[in-house]
Amino acid sequence: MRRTSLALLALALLAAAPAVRISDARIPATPPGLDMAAAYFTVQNNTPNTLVLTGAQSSRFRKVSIHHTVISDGIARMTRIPRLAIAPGSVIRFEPGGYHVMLMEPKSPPRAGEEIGLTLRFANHPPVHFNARVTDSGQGSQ
Amino acid sequence: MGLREMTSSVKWLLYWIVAIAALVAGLWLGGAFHHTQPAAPLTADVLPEPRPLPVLHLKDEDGRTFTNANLRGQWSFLFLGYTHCPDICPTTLSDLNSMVQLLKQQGGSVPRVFFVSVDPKRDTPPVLKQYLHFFNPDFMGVTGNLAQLHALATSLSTTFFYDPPSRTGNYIVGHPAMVFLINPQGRLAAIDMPPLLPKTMAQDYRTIIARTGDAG
Repeated sequence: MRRTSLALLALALLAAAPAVRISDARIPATPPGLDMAAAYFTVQNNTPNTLVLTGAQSSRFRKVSIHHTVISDGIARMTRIPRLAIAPGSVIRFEPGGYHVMLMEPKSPPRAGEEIGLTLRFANHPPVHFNARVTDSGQGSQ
Repeated sequence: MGLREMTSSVKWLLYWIVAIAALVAGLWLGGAFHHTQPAAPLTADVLPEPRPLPVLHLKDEDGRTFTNANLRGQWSFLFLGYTHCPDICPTTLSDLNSMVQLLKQQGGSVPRVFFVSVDPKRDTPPVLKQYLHFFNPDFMGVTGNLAQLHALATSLSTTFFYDPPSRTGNYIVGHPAMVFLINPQGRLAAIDMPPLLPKTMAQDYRTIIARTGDAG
């Protein structure tokens, strides 16, 4: 009886936790006139399967793609990532100097404090929608 | 109090005196070392001998000529990047601004920051000015012809290159991820390697200028 209720509780918790959890989503504000920005966030795969991230989109930007910055011999290079595998139970951080969603050609410039909708697309999972907050990255931000 | 007990008390008193003397000596020695040794080990790579830069003939964000003379008389940080850079460049400029704000709060020498664009085709002086003003109005944009920029990069033991353009004509530039510290004689003194942490960069900067005894 007790075991059954524990199992039920675990099931309820699993059902409540999103299968793909996005946290700490942010877009550092960009200088005026610049037609590109980057989105950073953490993805947690709570599904029992390896998820294959194939792209991202946002109604605010005409071109959105997933990139990875690699620093080798002191040189920073960006490469486009067409597919990114996320193992079950694992967490991937999109952060400065690593993975990021490159946002190009904004329909209107992102302003500090606003929320911008983003969508991640997967080969084997329905799209995941989330909001990223535009953070102040100019003078005065610490 | 018997003689035996008295000897015992004297013994304890002696122990205490020795213990306190040792403690005082330890504190004194520790204090002396604290004053002669640098506060923390450096994260930056300091060159054993500052290295001269090539003859520079660049343009600043206001279209004025920028030469080696502009790097003399004060400590400066150089960062080589480009404005169409979504990740590393804005992050580094934001971190450099945080470092400058920290140094300002602490008082003492505050370095200048020069952003050298290695993408002169897109980064004209007005573009650079608008871009840098966003991070810190005191940051100065500099660029020039490719031969000059390559000569500067080579003297800093680094390089930059362009990836083939996409269908829409956008192209990615490979550029140095590190930040270069130039001394008031206009020579390369140290290199900050990523990850660039504002606190560490500020601490290293203070240690380096204290060692050279030249606040610029």
